[in-house]
Amino acid sequence: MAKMKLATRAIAALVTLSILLISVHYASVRADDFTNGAEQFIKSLAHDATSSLTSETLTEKERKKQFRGLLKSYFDINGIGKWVLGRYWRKTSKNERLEYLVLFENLVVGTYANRFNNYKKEKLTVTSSSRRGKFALVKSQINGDQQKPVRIEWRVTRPNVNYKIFDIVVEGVSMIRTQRSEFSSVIRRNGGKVSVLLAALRKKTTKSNQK
Amino acid sequence: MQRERINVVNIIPKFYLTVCALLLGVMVLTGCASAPKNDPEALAEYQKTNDPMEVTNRGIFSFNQVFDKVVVKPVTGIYRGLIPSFMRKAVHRFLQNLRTPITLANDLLQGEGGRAGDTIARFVINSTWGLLGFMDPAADMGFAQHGEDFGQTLAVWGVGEGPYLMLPVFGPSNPRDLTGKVVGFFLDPLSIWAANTDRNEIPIIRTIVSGIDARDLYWNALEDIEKNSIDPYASIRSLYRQRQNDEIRNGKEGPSTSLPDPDRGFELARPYTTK
Repeated sequence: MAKMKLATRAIAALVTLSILLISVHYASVRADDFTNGAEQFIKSLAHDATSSLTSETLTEKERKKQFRGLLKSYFDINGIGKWVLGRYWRKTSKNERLEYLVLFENLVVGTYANRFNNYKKEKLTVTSSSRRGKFALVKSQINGDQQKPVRIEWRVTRPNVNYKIFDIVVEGVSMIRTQRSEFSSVIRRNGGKVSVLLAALRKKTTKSNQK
Repeated sequence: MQRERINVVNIIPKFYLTVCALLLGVMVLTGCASAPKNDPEALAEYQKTNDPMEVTNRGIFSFNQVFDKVVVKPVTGIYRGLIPSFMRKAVHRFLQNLRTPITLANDLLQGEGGRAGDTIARFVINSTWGLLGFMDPAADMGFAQHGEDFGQTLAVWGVGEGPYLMLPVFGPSNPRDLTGKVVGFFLDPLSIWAANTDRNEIPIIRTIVSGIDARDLYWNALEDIEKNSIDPYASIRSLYRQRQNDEIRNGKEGPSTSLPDPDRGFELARPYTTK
């Protein structure tokens, strides 16, 4: 009897909780909340990134580890990987996909982690945000030692409860678009074989990890 | 002695144009790479890539990479080694200030009155207070720097870009951009003045210094591509076209700013959840 009571209570609690979560979710779908949340999300990324990546005492290996952590919590890295592979995603086997996603993540870590060496004194300011379709577009700029501030647009989605970054557009250049055209060029020039891309990625990522 | 030097100076652009004409001939003869006809997706990709002369372009790109390794990069490396960063920035600003007539003319041709005003204000302030343009006090007064050329004006007027071109030495381009650069070069008051007074070395020196300045500016980006790209040719092609479009829109969002569809490809099994 006592057990039954506990169970009904637990169920009631769960139902209340899920209703609460759903209503929170629906409330946040309203445009302003969605974009405001996205702005906060980018600000928190900027904060986390400066505190964990720009320390002078960090070794390259540690920086990469920190970066991978940020990448996983702030970016829809698997979704990006799929989008970047484009139409070839459908032409890959399950095992190839698994390997590809691992290699893609390693490539991104290898490519971007060290860029933070140069971002030490630079401050990211969020300037505005708007909503377009599934995306919140958060506009920001970095004031470095350049003549002009660098424009950076963050394209943020919300696949579930959490926000995730899907693309970064720097001075009008989309990172994922550039990556996709590179990958598709490699595949196309090698008879449409994704295995060639995988081999190239394997080579590239082991090289950058050894360094 | 003087005559001979000027002759050499005259030969360089002619030689370059001859090489370009020959290459154009080769392109026409080898024809466009065959478009994939059977696969609609491959055809769409081919059209989107907009690079029918890819084979020739890649050949020129390989030449450019060697030329960069042997000439441009070492020279720029010496420049970077000898001249401190703040002085290189001053050189960059000086070159930008020299471009004022081109930018102003194209601001006006595009009907951008506000930006034309900025350009005039910058020129007046920076040429005087800014010590002949080596400094940029105008930026601190709220007149931000921007550049325009005739290629961008043509784009604003609705002229299409044409196929992607890799030019020897000068790098990525397209017929619209190339036309703009050539028109800009010949209508530049500095070039006209130099031609009328037999100072033909001036535009050439300016072109070379601008080249070194550009290589210096792209130094980190190119190092990055060399280190991380598995197909530098394709990366540069994509970067060039995206930057071009952004500059044509003056950094604003336009109808061509398309967003990716994050759900594409999700209808099939997610490999990392199925296992």
